[in-house]
Amino acid sequence: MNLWIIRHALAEEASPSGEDARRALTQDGRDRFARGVRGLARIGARFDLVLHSPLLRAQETADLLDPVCDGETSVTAALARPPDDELLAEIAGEAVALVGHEPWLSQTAAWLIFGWKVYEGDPTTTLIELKKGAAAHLVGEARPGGMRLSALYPPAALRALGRR
Amino acid sequence: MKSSPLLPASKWLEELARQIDRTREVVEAEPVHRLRVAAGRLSVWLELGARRALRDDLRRLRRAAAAVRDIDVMSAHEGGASWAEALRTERAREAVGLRTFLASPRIETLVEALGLVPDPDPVHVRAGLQRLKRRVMRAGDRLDESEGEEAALHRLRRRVRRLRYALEWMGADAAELRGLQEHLGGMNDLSVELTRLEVRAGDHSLAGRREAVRRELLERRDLALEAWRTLRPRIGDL
Repeated sequence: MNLWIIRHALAEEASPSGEDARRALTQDGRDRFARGVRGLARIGARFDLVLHSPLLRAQETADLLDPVCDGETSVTAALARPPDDELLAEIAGEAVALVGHEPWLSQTAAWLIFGWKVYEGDPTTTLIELKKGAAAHLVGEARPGGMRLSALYPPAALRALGRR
Repeated sequence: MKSSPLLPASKWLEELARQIDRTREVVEAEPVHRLRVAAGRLSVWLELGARRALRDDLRRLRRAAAAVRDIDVMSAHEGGASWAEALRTERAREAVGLRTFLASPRIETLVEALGLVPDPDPVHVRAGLQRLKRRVMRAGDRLDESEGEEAALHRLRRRVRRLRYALEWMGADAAELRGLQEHLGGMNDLSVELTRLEVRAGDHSLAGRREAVRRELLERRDLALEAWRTLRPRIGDL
């Protein structure tokens, strides 16, 4: 299967209420990510499931993936915490996108590629750096150690692809 | 922050959470119906805000409750002892499925996520309302092209319902749409019942009910088409 691990786009520093979960994307973050989505479309990324965290900035990033989503979106709390078996159980389909947050997305990628949870040893370790709006493309089976990293797209690279 | 042209979502979000809680305890007809209505209204609220996320989750929630709701509607009609028994058995099975679905942590997450969504931007609302009107009109066109085919009527029903909810979110009068929706909804209920009755075509004790439903369905269909023809020229002004 193809798994796309996508970090939410640029969000405001603080929400009006002060709650982290209510932080929305900035207009600049929306515009940039929308251009990045054109890049995803250009390289043929299509999703039959977009799983996203409940936090507002992840919801809004999932909204922007609409042009490359052929299937459904689904909210899951498993993307708003360290990766666990519950998250893996939700990954079903041939082309799935996970939209969430750091450091958990990098930890998810590392777990799927190497087979162990890097945060168990060192919570600050991330083996793959995902900037806001970046995407990692993994291929294989969605189980620990069952995937390989096919490509890592920084946000600027996705936008550049979208301009071509 | 621009002020929202819509009524606050909190009322329907609280209603959704309340009916989910009630249905987790006991799967009763009214809370299941209200749960579906709240989910449908919130889905339109998201659409008016140009939001895609959470709408599929709400649709799955509505769908999970649909089977129980359909059986409850059918059970309200007199169909004979064997039909009533078959519906009771089927409802018990569907109720277990619904409770299991509602017990999933995914449902709590959905309610929490809905609570994070800010009020829609007025620009999105205006565009969203026009889009919903266009969809109703297109569904009407397809109904004409199909010469009243049932699938086209059902498409119109779903779109009329969403437009009605959108207008109600705006505090507008949607009485005419509500009237049309009642005809279309009644037609759908009868259609669902007829499908199930026809599966039991060999059960002669249901022959009377089958015939009655066929007759009612045609009557409802005529009423729905008439209501649609009357309302159609005014959709743009709603």
